[in-house]
Amino acid sequence: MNHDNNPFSGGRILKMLFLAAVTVAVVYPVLWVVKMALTPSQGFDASASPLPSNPDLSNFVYLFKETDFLRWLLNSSVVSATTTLLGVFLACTAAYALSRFRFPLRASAMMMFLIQQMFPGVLMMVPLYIIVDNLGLLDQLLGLTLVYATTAIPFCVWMLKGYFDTIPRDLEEAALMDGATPAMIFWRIMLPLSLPAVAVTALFSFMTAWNEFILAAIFMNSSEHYTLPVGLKTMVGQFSTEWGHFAAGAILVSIPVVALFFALQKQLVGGLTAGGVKG
Amino acid sequence: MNRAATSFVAGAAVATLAFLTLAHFENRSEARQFQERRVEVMARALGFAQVQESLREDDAAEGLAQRFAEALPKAVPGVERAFLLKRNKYLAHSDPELADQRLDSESLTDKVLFDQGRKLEAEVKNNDEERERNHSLGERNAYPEVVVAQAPDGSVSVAVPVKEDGQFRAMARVTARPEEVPTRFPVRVPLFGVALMVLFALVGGRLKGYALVVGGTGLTVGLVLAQAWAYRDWQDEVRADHAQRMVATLGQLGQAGLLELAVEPEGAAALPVALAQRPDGVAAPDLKMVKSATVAGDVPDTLRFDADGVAVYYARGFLAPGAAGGRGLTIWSIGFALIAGGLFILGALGLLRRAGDAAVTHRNAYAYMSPAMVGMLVLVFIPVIYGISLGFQEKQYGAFQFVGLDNFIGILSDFDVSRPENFYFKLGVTVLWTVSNVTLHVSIGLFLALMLNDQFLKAKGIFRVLLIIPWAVPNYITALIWKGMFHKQFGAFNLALEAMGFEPVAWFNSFWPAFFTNLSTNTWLGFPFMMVVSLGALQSIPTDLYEAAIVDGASRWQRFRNITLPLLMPALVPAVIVGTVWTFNMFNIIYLVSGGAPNGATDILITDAFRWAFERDKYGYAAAYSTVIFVILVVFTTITNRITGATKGAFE
Amino acid sequence: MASVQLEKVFKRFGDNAVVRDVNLDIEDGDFVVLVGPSGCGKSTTLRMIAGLEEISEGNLKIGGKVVNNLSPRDRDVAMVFQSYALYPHMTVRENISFGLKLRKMDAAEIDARVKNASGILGLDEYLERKPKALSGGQRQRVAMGRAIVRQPAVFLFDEPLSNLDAKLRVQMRAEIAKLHQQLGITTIYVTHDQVEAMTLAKHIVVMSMGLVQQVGAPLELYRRPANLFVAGFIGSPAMNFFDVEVKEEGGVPVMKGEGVSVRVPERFRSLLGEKGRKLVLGVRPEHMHEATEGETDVVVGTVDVLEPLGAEVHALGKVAGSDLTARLEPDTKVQVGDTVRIGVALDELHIFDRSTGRSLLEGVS
Ligand SMILES: Nc1ncnc2c1ncn2[C@@H]1O[C@H](COP(=O)(O)OP(=O)(O)OP(=O)(O)O)[C@@H](O)[C@H]1O
Ligand SMILES: [Mg+2]
Repeated sequence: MNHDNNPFSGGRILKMLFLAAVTVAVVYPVLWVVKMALTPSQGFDASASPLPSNPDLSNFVYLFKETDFLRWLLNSSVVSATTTLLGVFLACTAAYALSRFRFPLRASAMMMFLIQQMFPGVLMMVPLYIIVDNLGLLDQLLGLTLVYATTAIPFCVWMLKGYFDTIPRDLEEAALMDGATPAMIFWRIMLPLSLPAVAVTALFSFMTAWNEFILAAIFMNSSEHYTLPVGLKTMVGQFSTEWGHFAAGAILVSIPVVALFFALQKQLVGGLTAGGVKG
Repeated sequence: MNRAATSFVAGAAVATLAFLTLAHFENRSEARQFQERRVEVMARALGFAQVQESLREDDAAEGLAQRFAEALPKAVPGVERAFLLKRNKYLAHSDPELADQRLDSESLTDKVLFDQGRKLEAEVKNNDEERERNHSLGERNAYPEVVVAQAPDGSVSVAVPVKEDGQFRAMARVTARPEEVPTRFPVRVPLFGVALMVLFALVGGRLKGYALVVGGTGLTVGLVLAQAWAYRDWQDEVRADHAQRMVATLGQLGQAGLLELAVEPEGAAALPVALAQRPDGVAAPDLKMVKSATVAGDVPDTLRFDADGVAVYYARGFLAPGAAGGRGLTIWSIGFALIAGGLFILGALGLLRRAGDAAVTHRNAYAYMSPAMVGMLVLVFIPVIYGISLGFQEKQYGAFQFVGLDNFIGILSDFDVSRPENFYFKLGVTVLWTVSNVTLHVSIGLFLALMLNDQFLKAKGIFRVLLIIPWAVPNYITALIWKGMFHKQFGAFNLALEAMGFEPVAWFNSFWPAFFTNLSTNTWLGFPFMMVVSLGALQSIPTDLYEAAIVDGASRWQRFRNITLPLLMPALVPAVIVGTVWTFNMFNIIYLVSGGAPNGATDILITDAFRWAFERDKYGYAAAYSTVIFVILVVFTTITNRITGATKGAFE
Repeated sequence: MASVQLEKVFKRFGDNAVVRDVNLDIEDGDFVVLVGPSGCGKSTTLRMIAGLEEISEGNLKIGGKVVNNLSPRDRDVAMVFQSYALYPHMTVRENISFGLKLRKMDAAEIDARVKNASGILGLDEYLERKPKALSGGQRQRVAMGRAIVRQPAVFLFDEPLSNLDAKLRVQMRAEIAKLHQQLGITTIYVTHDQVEAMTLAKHIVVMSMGLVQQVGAPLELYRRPANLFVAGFIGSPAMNFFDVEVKEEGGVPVMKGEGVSVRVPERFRSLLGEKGRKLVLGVRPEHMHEATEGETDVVVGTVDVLEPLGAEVHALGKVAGSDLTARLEPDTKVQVGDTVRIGVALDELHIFDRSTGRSLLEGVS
């Protein structure tokens, strides 16, 4: 903590220069992807400059015109949005119970949520495949959504539970006295007060679904059911990698998540520490 | 009826229900396996016939395709497609329009086919090399030369290599829709059991003490075991039925001249047995003759061959003795018997009723928990249990067999750490990977957070936003891009090195550079999380603490050491634990960046488990591997949790 | 507005009964204060009335109707919490009107009621602020406003003033009293501050360890505490207790203990029973004075501390083993370390049975 409050003191200027250098280094690979996306050639562009020599949008046009990109985008959006809604709903209710009620097996349930995160995903794949198949949900967006929502739950539950714990019980009782039903208490008191944590939870659920690759690749057989990651991966294929197309796709895929991160960064800082991570 | 009797009925009913459910799924999967094998036999027959007609004259294939189109549907009902594919050209196709056509490189499905062909070709080569290296294999294969794919509608596609003089020539692939096979387990035994249960519930109510407990437990266990045995007998019948269908298939293929069947006139009905007792391990190298196969009397009349000049070929263990179903289910049944007995005893002790009371008293809590719990149970808990149970089995003859602790012993008792596949070697790499990553993540993240946590710093919002980007970019994209950046010729790193006058580095040819590629990629995407957590924790430290310390004359370092660090710990410790678990299981980066290069040396436990499962086709071994990983992580978190009390508050 | 009755009410947490056999009959418009030491079950009792805590056994009636199984919303009660429990994400106006909105009252009526309440409580200028921007006293008023606008049948207060400083507390106490006069709503008020209890209550309920010790008007409890607990709890400074036995001295029964010798007043004599009975003599500090030469009904003790309060002086010390607190005239000559003879007012004595702790004077006016 620096108590000197001149924003242009020598120390601060140095600090800013340092941060700027780090930031450039961190952002450099991203700029480079942008360059590849804007360069019509499909090679892995070699020059060190992060600026494209003669940029055009042909890679993006190709994605929309020549591939099922729109279809994949739609699939991913549907899956991610549903996963987010479902994941947040399931995590909220479970976290609420864990935070507010004392009941037999509560500790076991929390332990289960904790331990689940340690289980290697690889081992889950075949059993999951079989179960999803038996539920008749293979090659269906719904199957993928259910699996994603449940994978997202444990982390979200811990985070939300931690946050709910910080909200005084009195508030709920006051609302109860004011005549609120449990549902109203949840919607009008708990939810607005835990908005940062809920936002972060939603972000994580969304990311889980939006970024996941392996399960989607295994579960989805038909191209019209591919999600974005699976679709994109087909460009890094056996024949050769179409770097330009891939980069363009990568950018389109990343934009929503990056935008969400930007929008929620305040909540991210607050939500993570007040809630789950602190336990 | 007293409490004990009621709970007995409940326990036995639960066990029976679970048993029936499982039996149903077992049946389905077994029927599917049989179907798969029949299709495989056809694919091999197709390849065989092709070899006969000499592959080199491409036009000779036409007549073959014709014959195939006619014979196939008779041999296996529901055949949809069969073809031979050489590179990207169909040599023969059951759809005459496609015979002689090329693959469409834009079509995804065609791409998949092409990849399958390449995979089989590689497999054949691998097996050759493996046999060269390891003479104990003899003629056998180390890896199965077959690609089986299941479509959502249940249809099975099997692809096998067509070889000539031991060389890969083409891929034969057959797709068939599943045939409806009656596989319903007769419910007589369960029904009889239910009657017994009710009787006991009525009569058992009179019994007292030990008599009740022993009687009830015995009856429950006996009941479930009886079910298991009845199921086994019945399953043998079903298998015999499957065997006959297989024989019929072979017969049809033989009649169409697509297969030669050799039968030596020995005992009647020996064929299924002979087929079942396949001598070798994973897979046969190629078509192999079973000398003792005999066809006679009670085989369906579609099979009518001369005793001479008829050869029976079989494929990858298409009739397995006591396939996973039977023995697996028996073991499951014993488990169920124990569960049922346990439930009964619990019930007799009144615990079930207490649990019921608790469920009523805390109905609100359970109502809130149940949606998440049901999801977790079906999509997390059951797969995990199932996955762990696979660790005690191994795929043999195409089906899972119970092998006890073999897999675990195999993993843990091999101390030859000089080989990269060795568990302890992998564990070492994984620990190195995790420790170096987490150290870097925390130190970089904390350092940047400390710099950013300065309320008078200009533009810190911009820095913060830009520094979070790596976290937001999907990690498989990051991995693929970074892999590109480490390319020997075109990658940014080597270009930079060359620009500075250094030699370019072959990043993936030796351990440390390859490890470095993984590490740098993962550091790039991992530090923002720690930065954000640290930032949040820093912001929650009240400034008057620092003011007090300044008044006390504490230096900058002393303030960091005595205020910042201790107050960061409650937030940082759980983040480090979570980060450790994530890094330990970080699959995408290793798999996509170094891909284990060189020679699997940079693989960590999780990627190696994946390879055991999907590349070496040892699913049981992989499951055991994953279980070991799981145990390591649970022990790690439990211990760190104990020491640091990271989650203690949460359980209050 | 309504009456409230508790009939044989119990509350158990597991096997631990924290409220036991409570019977109360609270009339419409009454102002009842529950007092007792920390952990005695006051809040639990109040929360059972509110509906926040399930009743383990017994009946709760509001307005003559059994409401055990009604949710708080359907009981028509309002509550002010010790922590105020204001909704941090709502403005003062929203906080106050939340309950009305939930009841789907029309906007004009809500407005009128909020205005009225904020007028009474002096909150007009803060209506658009969030609770974070209010002082402790203002927050407390908002909490009250939230209860008032509802115009409930019963008001419940759980130590609403304990977070305020002494001066504000006195002021708010007066406001609550005024409010009750204006609105006349049945009020149940929990505190462990007996001054609050004495000043506010029409009736006081003294609780200890989950049991009701005594119910009565403030002065009744002061004058005729039913047992040692109430005697010690009500009144400040607390009553002095001396272990005594009844002895015959010159044909008169005298209560004798170490350093204590007090004649039994004539009108109590019939109540004390046989001689030698073990009793506890209770004397309030305000019923003590420095004894004159010839006075015989005295206790003799040493003074350890003197607390001059201006209008009076409290002398703290010991009589044999037991504590002594006596209120003396401001011009007293007594010094720390002195041995003093303290006279007691025979009319104001309290006598308890030592084994049961019950007052022997019940029924005596
Ligand atoms: N949920 C609970 N579970 C178990 N015991 C409880 C619970 N709530 C309260 N108690 C116990 O019940 C007793 C009475 O508590 P209560 O809150 O009614 O006391 P109180 O009289 O209001 O005390 P204070 O003046 O300190 O507020 C206490 O001993 C407390 O420990
Ligand atoms: Mg209380």
